[in-house]
Amino acid sequence: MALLAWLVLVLATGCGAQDQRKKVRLATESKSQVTLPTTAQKVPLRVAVAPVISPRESFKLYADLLDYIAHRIDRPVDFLQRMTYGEINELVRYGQADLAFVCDYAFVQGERDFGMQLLVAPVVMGKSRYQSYVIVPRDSDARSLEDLRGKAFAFSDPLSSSGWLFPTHLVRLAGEKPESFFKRSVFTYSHDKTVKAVADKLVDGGAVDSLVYEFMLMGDPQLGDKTRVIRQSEPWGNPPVVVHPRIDPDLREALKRVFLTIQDDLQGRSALAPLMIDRFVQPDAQAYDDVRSMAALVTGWP
Amino acid sequence: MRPFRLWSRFRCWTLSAPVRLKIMGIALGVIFLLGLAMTLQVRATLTGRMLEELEQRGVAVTRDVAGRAADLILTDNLFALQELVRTTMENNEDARYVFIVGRDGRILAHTFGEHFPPDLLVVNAAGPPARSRVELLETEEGLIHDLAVSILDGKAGVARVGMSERRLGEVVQGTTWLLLLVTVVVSLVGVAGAYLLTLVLTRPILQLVEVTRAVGRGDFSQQAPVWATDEIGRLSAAFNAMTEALARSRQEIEAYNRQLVRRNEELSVLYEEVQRKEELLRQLLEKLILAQEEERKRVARELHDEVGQSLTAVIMGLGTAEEGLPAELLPMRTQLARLQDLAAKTLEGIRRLMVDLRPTLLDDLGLIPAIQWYAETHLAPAGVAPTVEVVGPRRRLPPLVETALFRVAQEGITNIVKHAAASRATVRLEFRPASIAAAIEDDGTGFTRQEPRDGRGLGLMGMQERVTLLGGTLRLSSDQGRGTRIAIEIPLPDQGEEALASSHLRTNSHSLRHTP
Repeated sequence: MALLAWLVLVLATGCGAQDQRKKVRLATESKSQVTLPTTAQKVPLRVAVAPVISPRESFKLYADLLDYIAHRIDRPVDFLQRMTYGEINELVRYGQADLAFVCDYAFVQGERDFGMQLLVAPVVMGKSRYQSYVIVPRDSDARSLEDLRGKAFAFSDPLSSSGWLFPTHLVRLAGEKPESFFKRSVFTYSHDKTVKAVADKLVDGGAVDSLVYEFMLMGDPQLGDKTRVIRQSEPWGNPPVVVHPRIDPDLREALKRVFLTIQDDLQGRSALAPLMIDRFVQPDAQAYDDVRSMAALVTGWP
Repeated sequence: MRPFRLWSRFRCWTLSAPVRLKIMGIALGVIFLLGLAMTLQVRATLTGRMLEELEQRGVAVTRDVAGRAADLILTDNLFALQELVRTTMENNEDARYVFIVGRDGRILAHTFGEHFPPDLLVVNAAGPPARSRVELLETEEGLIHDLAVSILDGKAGVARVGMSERRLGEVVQGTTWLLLLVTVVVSLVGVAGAYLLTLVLTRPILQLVEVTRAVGRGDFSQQAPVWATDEIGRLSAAFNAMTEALARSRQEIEAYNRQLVRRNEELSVLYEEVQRKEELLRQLLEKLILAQEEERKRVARELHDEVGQSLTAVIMGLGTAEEGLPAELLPMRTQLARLQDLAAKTLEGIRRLMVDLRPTLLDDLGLIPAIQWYAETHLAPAGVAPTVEVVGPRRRLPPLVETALFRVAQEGITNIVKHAAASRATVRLEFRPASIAAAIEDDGTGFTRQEPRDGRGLGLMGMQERVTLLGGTLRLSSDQGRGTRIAIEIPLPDQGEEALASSHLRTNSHSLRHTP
């Protein structure tokens, strides 16, 4: 019996005795004293990115660019993301973000709400315009939006021009509302999710940003085999970079300077590469007129 | 030395234990050892597997948390983050804690309630190049596998999950006890089985022992039952065969014994008959010898009384007649003188004959003078120088013994005179405490066994008879040209027996007197 006890003891204690274990006390009475690493005392530049694509994808794509901007203006950058375009607009409107990457319709809405101002606009793969695509699964019978009547449809965000405004505007032109036209509609809150939802036939169709769609096809050609485009919108100005109307003019100029010269150095070009952006240019306010008119039709603006 | 002693003690102990105990001991030992080994092995394997599984599960859970936390961190959704860690904790029994560290080192969500352990944050971390990292922590609640998985390569932060070994330990402990319990139960069953087995195994042996004892007592009727054809069965069969052979052998011996007893009885009857006859013969011989002696005595007395006196009277008459004859009748006188002389010689011859028959010396002076006289009177005239030697304290012997000794000496001397052509002869008497020995030797021609029995042989037989009658022995040794030696020894009765013997002899002599 003593032998048995000894064996059990050896077995129980002998397993990890050789390891150098760290000792931690879990129960503690004192309030946690987590000391944060003290970084630069400089005020960070708060940059918000609308969830054109999912936050983690945005994070990966925009990280280098934001780092580059931080380096150029010699201030740390806070990368802000939210689930919806509306929240991004709110961040700009109430001064919680200094700079934002938004969608056309979000800009038009912000412009109308509090005078959101264009700072710069990107040129993507040589193009300064983009479109909205209505896509369906590759083997779908649908040839037009009309064929999707009574089907399930995926919007991206209520403030997306390509993901919501364009298809809604088309439905309106047909004299209907999305709620009655589609049997069911969902918001995915990012274009990549909409593409995936259509490819996986979770929905019968969806409206996506042409830039995102083509960008995704480059990354994953199989998506092209699973989906096809049945309707394209008119080309609109690429999604702009915006600021609050009452931004410090010096900062505004500094930022503009940085954006317009990114492509001039190697570091800047490699920061732009993930986003497929060639360079940033002065925005053309008229490029968004088509969106403005669609919004007026859909929302009943004067 | 010491191990050897221990070993020998163990050997002694195991050898002296009953077979039943040995078999049960073997069964118990084997089952127990097997069970113990299995338990330890299962315990070790189970612990290893479960630890491995615990870590794998921990990594999976942490990766899941990290994956789901990414968007929530990037969109500053702290409430959803808190929900995420809470549900993760709830859905994983082994999770002791879950927390998420932001990219700036702030804790964004955790499951510790109010107090976050201050030193927990720094003990583990993950980030490029390692997407996940495991650290074994020793806490007051036991060992905890702390898993760290970076979120978006650490740019968005780190998810940390602590997997506790407690439940694993309980499972392993429970399994161990269950296995030990099973071992004990199987041991009991095994012992019971071994007991039954030993019953089956040892019963034939014990029965064999019983039968062996019975056979030892001489009961051959018992048979060892043969249960099976195994070694014990073969032993039993061989034992039975042996018992049968023994029984058969004993029957034969008994039959032979009975035959012997019968023969013996027959022999005893015969022996008794022979003894009776011998006794009769002895008595007859004794009577014959006594009668002979008596007869000789009577003849001697008759010769003395009748013939001797008559002859004396004849001699005296002749003398008177001679004296009375005239001188001129000289031839007559001469004749008478011659007759007187003849008569005197005859008387002398009769006297010698008388003495030969029964020397009065023997009765009057005893054995030694009688033998001396006889030797001198018979050997010297024959030209043999006689010597009589006496050794030991002289004493009178029973008359029958003295007579026998004298007669033997007489016969020996007569033989020497008649056949030996010896120049010297010796008669030697030795008085021993319980016997009397006599030897008669001569340096004469001697003889061989092959010689035909003549008168000398008959005389020897007479000597033999007399000596044997008194319980003595006679040895004759002789060789051609080497002389002859007759040695006899006659046992003498003790004082008490001597009295008896003498009375017996008296009776004998008394009876002799009345014998005609």
